[in-house]
Amino acid sequence: MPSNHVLDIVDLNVHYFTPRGAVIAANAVNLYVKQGEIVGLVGESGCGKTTVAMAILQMVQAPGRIVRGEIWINQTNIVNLPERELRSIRWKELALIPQGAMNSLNPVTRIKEQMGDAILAHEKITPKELKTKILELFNRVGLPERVYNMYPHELSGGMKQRVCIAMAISLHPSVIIADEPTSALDVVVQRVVAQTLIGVKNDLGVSMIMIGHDMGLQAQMVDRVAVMYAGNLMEVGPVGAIFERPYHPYTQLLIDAIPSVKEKKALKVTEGLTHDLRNPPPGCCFQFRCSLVEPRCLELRPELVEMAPDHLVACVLHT
Amino acid sequence: MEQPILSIQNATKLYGGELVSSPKTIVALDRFSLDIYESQAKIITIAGESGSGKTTLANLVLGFLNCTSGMISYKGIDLAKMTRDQRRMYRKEVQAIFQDPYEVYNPFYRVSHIFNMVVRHFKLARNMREAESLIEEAMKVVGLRSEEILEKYPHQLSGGQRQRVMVGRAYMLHPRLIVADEPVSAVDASLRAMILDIMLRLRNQQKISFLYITHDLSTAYQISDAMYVLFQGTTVERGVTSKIIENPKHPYVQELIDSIPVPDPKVKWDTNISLPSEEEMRKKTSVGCRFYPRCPKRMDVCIQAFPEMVKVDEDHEVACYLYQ
Repeated sequence: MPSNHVLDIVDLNVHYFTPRGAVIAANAVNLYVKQGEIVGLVGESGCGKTTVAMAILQMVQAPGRIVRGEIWINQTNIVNLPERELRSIRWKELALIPQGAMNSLNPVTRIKEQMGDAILAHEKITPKELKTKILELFNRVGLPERVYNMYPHELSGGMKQRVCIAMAISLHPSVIIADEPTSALDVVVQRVVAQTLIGVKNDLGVSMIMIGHDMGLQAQMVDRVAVMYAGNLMEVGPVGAIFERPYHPYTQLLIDAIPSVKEKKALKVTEGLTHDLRNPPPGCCFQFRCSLVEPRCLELRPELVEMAPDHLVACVLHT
Repeated sequence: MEQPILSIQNATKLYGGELVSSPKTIVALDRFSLDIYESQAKIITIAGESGSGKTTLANLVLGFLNCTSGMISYKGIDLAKMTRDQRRMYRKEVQAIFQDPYEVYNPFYRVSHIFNMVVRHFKLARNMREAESLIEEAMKVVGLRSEEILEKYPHQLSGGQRQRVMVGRAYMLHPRLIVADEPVSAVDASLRAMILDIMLRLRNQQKISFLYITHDLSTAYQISDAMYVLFQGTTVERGVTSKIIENPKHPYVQELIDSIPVPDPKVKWDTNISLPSEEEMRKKTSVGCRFYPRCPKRMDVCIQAFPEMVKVDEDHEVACYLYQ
């Protein structure tokens, strides 16, 4: 693991074992995150983005299981680490901003208690120091001090989201995993939360994985993009290169699907359904929905190939 | 002059304040007016952030709530004074599609139950064969094959199929108006295009009007004809969609459009935005412009009285003192 990588995912395979066969939710995923960068993980619902996030945190729910793979954080492989050791790593090395963060706060305890719980589990500090620390965190994410004594229902959606961000950065983790941190917010609040996250990254130098399906937001926030489809990485590259020259037809499709306020364009309705994840077809997994499909796509599963420095794509058109 | 099929006149809805327990009244919707004509089917966007009153408006139009003052009438009949039969007719001709295609189904029944219930309740068919052909047709309009869908349970369908079944159900009643409350907010890109495409087809081929309620201005720009932007219950800008999006006048609408993430990594947000605290927003006077505490261009006159709608262009009006 190169020294500037804070997180390395090596050959990660996650299957969900159902009575009718194993659903392959993540297939041979390789991804790394460098110090101080935001990596976007994009794809449609059901493509395995959240599964990868949960696998990184070692929180894949049964019947899911990591069947193969390594996850390296600061020179430690955390796959199959005992629960006790994992507990000390979670929050301290790896923090999560969950999907729908507005519903992840405990409704019957005050914000100060929830945040105090998480911090005191890892650090021995006096109540006075704790209060100073929490108020400092509020300040960093732009929350007023009165939130300290409030209950979650007294906060707006954007404020709850910022409480979750404050909790995630409270122990200076190396990596924050943000699972669609702005998906339920309207556009102005989305911008406020997105800018809070960018600010946190710039101030603290923390690395992030930003999961989402909105390519527009990705363009604004991330340094590198990883495009995922049906459990496979299709393209990984610097955000500028991906938007300028997307190699994979699926990446192109995602970019074309961004609705614009600059020009009116015809709606792009895609035909075809994703294959049954229990029985992936031979060949490329995108074959049923690809507009450029060729006979060889049905036979050969393309590997990720490096087209330019740091820009990888898995498509037979580029081998 | 043609009589509008749906006419909303100064509809106002207040919450709270009726009982001793809640001293504060909240104005959820303030003097909202809108006419929809049958001769030209239109997709009309109601845009605004959470708390702007757009869902309250949908609930008023669907008859789930009654106006505190003002009136909503359908084909000249006041919604609040409809007889049983008139109400049944209204329920048939005004349909709804909701945000979450996962939660509108009863998981215990097969998909066909949804259609059968509609057929029975509105007596659409005289016999089984007629009912079947109606359902068949509705499924075809939304691009689904009935033999694949009808006998399944809701959990066996994908999100897109579920939302399309709901549109098909609404279509089957041959409504004049469909109220679509955030129909594409919870779905991903390919699905979004599919649903919007069906809306466009229903407008063009079946002459069905839509009240498209959303916070997403970019999809509104792509499909809608007219637009009303709400802020805290008040209409701040209204008119032809393309005029508003291409040339927004109200500072709030300008802020909304600026906040849409630009899908180009080279064009980043140039300014930091900050919202005043909730307290500040609530404390402010109820006489002036609601946007005053957040407005970058606020003036003293703004807190004295609520600005009237002024015409800035053909079919483009804005409620802001900058243009008076």
